[in-house]
Amino acid sequence: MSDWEKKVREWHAVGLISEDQAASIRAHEGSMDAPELLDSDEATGVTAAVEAVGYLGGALAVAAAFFFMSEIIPDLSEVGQVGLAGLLTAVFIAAGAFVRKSSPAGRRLKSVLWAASVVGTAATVGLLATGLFEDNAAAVALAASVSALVVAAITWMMNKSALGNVMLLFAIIGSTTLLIAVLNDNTHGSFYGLAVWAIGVAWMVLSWGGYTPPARPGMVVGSVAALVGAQITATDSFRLHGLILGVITVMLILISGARLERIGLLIAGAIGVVVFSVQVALKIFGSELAVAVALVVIAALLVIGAVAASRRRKGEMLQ
Amino acid sequence: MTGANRSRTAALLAGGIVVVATAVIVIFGFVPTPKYPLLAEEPDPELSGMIAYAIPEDSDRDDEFESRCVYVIELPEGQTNEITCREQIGGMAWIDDGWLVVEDFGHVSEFEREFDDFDLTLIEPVEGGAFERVTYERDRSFLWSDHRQTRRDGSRVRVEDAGTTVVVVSPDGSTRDLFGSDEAPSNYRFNEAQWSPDGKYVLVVDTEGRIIVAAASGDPRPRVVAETGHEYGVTMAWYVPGNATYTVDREELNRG
Repeated sequence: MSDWEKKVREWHAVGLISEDQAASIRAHEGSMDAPELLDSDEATGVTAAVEAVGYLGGALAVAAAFFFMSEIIPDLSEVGQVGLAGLLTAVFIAAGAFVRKSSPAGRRLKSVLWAASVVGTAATVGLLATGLFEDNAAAVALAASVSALVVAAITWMMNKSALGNVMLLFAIIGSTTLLIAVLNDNTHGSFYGLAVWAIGVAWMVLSWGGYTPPARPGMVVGSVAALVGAQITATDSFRLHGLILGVITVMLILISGARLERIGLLIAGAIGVVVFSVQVALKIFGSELAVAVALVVIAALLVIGAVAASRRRKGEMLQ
Repeated sequence: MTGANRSRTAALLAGGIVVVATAVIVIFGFVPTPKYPLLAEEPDPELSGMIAYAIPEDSDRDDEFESRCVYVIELPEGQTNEITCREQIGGMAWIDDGWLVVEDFGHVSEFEREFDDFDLTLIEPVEGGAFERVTYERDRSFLWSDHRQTRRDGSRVRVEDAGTTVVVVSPDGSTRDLFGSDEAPSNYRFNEAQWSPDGKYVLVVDTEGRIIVAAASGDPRPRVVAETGHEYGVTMAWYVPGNATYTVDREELNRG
């Protein structure tokens, strides 16, 4: 008997819900569970242990391939290097396409293989572009990143996994910042941070709106990118601007996390609080003692806020 | 909020953020590199002597040793001549008789198969000029620009503000900004600065690889005497005939 079925029986027994309501809940939860049961790991005979062993073997194979390639790649011609990297990438793409996504384990394996293919594409095109733009490192990196972006977008559309979501966001960030570098290498470093921040926030919002599924990891990885972007912005003469951006971002993430009840966002926001509060306190007060005091005050405020929210929620439930 | 409303709101928000960020980056993010006139455009007849500089050689050589080329700029015209390209040239200074002395760590130099780390190469500053080798085991700080950052009156020239300003520090400790750039890309800076032998000018090199000369008093009028194109690795030394400041005595070198 599943957990929800036990709860429904318990609630019906103590009179919290009627028989009709219990039947409705059973019908709803049953329809939610049905495809999951059909697709479950048990149904396909794939256990978590088997999957873990599979990944371990895969990691060892990748490590062996890395050592093997580090030995032979220096001896290969440029064509040979590109060919070898391209071949490995093709193997990852084909293997990912071959794996069925009828089970959660299959979907995870597919996402791992296709994530490897995104990295492989970047490496292949990077090697190829090195021969074409040998004096322009930014152009080489941009070619690699844009090609990775194309593969990341296609594989994500075919398998909307959390890992695919992360790879796509990384590729977008890489392509955008490198495009800025190629268009004008005199761009102030802080503005690369602003670009990363904007992409991160946009990704977070788009994930919330259902455009970049899965929503939960999308929002978390977007929020982390926004925090990293704000930190990069906070350099040189734009230090204060970046710190203000960081504080606003932290508040945005915490409010979103609280309203949507997303623990991942709350954790990202909490990390942002620690990172930015230290820097803001140092910027304003300029001493480590002040930083310690500021941290204590912020911690106290957070705890008081959490307790107040909890009491309010309890009150609402009692009403 | 319904699903449709949420999607619409998310699209508008994300689009707005991207558009605003793009506008901010385009309008404020592109900071031009500071521009200075070429010496040929604004000549200064008071500039005299020769400025030698060494930069990594642009070549397709695929060996493990970096090759560097030595150039000499003749003042006041600013004409630049390549003198020699050698493997692993280190510090550089002028000898009092107008020759150059360089650290030459090349293990296979063109005229000596076996070269000791204690050896220095003396170069006649004309293209394909004569070479000599001396063994010198004492302090070699005279070969580096640090040695040329203090003027005879004790004033020091250096770069401050994360490398964006050239300043003169008087013996009493007071500091005077000579020239610099408030608005510059974050990766732009002056790599090093040194005095001219007569102490009337400072010589700096920036991350654009431009060798810039500026007057130490009055209007500094910074002007570009050479565009090396190398972000790092530019070493330089200034020689004025008859002025022994910052030069090394040839007899001293010969004594080893």
